[in-house]
Amino acid sequence: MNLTLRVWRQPSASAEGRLVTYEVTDVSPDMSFLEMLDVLNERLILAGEEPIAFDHDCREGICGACGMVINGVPHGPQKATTTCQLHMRHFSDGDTITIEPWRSQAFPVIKDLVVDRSAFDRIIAAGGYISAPTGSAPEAHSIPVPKANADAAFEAAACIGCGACVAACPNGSAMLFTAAKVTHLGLLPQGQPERYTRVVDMVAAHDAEGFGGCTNTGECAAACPKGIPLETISRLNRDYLQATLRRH
Amino acid sequence: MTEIERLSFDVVVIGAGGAGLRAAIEARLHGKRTAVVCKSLFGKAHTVMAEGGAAAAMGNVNPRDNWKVHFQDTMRGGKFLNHWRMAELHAKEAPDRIWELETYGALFDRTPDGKISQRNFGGHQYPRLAHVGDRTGLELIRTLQQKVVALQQEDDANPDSDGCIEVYAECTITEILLDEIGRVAGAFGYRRESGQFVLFQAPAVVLATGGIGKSYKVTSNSWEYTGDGHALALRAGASLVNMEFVQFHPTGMVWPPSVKGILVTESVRGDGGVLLNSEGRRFMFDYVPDVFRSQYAETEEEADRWYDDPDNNRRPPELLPRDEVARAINAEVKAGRGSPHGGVFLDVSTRMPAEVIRRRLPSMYHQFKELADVDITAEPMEVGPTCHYVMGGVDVDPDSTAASVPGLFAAGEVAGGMHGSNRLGGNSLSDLLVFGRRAGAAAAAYHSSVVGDLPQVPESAVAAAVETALAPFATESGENPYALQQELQQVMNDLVGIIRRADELEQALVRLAELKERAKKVSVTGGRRYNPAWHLALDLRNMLLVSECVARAALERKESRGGHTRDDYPDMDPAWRRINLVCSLRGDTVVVEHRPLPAMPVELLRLFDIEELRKYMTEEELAVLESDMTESAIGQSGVEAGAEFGAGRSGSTADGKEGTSR
Repeated sequence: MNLTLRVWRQPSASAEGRLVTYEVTDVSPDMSFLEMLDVLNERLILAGEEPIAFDHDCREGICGACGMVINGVPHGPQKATTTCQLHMRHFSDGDTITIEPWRSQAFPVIKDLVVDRSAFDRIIAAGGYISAPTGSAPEAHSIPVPKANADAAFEAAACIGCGACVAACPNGSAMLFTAAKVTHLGLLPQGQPERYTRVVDMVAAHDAEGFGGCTNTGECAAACPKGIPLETISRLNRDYLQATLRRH
Repeated sequence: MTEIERLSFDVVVIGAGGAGLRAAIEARLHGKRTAVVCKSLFGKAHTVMAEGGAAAAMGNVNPRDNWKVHFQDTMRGGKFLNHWRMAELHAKEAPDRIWELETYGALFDRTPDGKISQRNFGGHQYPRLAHVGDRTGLELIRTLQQKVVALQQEDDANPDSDGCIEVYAECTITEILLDEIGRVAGAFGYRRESGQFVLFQAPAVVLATGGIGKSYKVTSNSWEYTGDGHALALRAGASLVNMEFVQFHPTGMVWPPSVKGILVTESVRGDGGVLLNSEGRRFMFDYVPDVFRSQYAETEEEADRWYDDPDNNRRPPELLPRDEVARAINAEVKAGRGSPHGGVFLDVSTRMPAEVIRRRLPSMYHQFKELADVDITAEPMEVGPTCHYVMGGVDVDPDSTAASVPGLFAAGEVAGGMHGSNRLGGNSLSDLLVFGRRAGAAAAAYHSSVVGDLPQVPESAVAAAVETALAPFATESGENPYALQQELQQVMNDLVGIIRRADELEQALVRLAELKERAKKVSVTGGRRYNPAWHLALDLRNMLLVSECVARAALERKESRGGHTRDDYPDMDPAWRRINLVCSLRGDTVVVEHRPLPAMPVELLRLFDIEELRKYMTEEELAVLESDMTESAIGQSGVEAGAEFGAGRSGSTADGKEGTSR
């Protein structure tokens, strides 16, 4: 099939960007979306033009590197699917496809479709870890974790940190990401000592990075390629409320 | 002169997968100023794709498990070509590394009483793999990453602390630089984002760059697996060992091209899936080797009964060890009985009702529906062997992970020796943790030993590295890096793949030499800022060098063992078990040398029955061993009977010997 692509090209963070139109011909419905871009890039290189920059790594939907807004939807039209798992059979001959980077104030564009997601790292740095004693393994063999808690933490632990939730949110909020991290650790015994400082600190870092507030729109959960549910944010809110009460 | 960012550290770790992060954490815990440099984004390393779990003999599910059994299983899996000391350290230390990970906040599946659950896997006698559903790698990376962050916060809160960890993501190292007397002095590379060059001055460098899968056309490996660490080590003067051993998983997707190589889990066959050729024949019945014949069903009827009654029937031949299945598929395709896209058919659709398939194999149903638009409840899948893991790597000292170049260390897939000729599933994640920690500690100790006399990077070496890196821009209308990579992948797939022959390997070496020449004229356009074509042009050099090592070692080893199958030398040869092939670089040429395999101490040999060792050792070795063992066995009657029983049992465990993390 033949497609018209409108791709966001931006040479650098400071430069101005714009949508550039490319015609791509002979696209097989069995190509993946990224492979289709690879083909376009090969042609651009042959023509002496700069290839389109985009993040990708495993191409299996687990590493969380890839991500672009395809026709206005993060990771494209398929549910529970990362960009690398999206295939061209979901498009039709003659389609025009608009491809943009994650759009959020807190995710500045580095080049073309590559954005700087280090704001996520700084949210983690605010408390998304365990500072238990380090060094040798504990004599206690292993820490008993109730199976039910472990199973519940799994859902949140599925987060691959791709940033689709931010790109989907009309407020540019990263609350689903933050909630996944808070909830995950909050359900484990190792995470208890810092449970309430963690939630407050991480939310503060989230706000300081310029992510917007959560208004329970739910676009994040709809866009999440790992199907992390909106209830995760409720869990965060519950912890946040308790943390605030404890302070008084 | 081009502008270069200059940074100074005590220890530089290249690679931010499991091994790299664990090494960096350890170096920092030893109070060192540590840099982690990763090619891709932080937290996206290939480790993230591991599914099955981390093997550690904790004995949570079966209390009979212990390090000795794990050691035995690992040696059997590697067909006794493993470096015994690495296998020993790995088996002994893996449980501590898993428990320690818990204190960092890792989440594992639990047993009903709250302990870490352990699952069965090919080649492991007892349930041994600690896991988190089918995303153990993601959890491992996340936990280590958060530990790095925790240490960074600690350092920020305490400005007087000596150590630190700095992360340099999207930064590719192109060269290890040595000082005048041949010690590591630093690492040179570029930042992907800006294309700016960066020089890390450091006396100790830990390689943790993973594998080489991207040199093959069909691979389950990540896009960053271009053998960088292997090549960096070679160019720095270190050597590689066991490079002929490459593990192929029998069932990867073969179609569509974009997903070629992605794994189809073994449980599809375990749950009743059958392999069929284009004539509709269940061909695996034709490929049961003599050594396994007594354990596998001879008729389809018996095989089908096994799923419900495994005690009174023999296993279906679809569940033979992975190398056997991979070779059989390869043979069917070569004989012209393959599927339309060059694999064979794996069918569950005629074996169980659609709703059972969707319930038992949900991820496979989703994978084929989404990626290939194939409904596995209605039609067969197409599968074929896929390049999965390289057993070969940097030749290191087992205890310290030190390479022969002072200041250079290697851990994880980039290091060689631990897995011998074939890796067991689950032994990779534990390998990363055990030897990552050892590498970090040894690099820290090395730094302390040279701190009064730090190596200096010669400016000439920096200038040469800059020139090499910029060469693709200086060449006009030369070779296209993408085209060269595709040709390389085709050569490796066709001529250095799962089954090898002398004439094909010789042909491969000729083709690789041609590609090497053409790669010198590779050219790219545009700027240095995030230019994927330039990145590939520089990676190509590494892929070509490492591919040459694989081909040369494969040509040299005239036997078949584990991940190395020679059509012209189909048997395992005890004489070859005593030999490691070691690759090094002399000028521009890869040289392969024979070196005796380090001998296992007798107290470890005694863990095995002499009857089992007979399969692997030469008469000469056995004679020495028998006298040793007899001495130690004086007063122990019934040794003979025990040995016989043991041989039978070990035969069946050697069965599931191959393995990967899925």
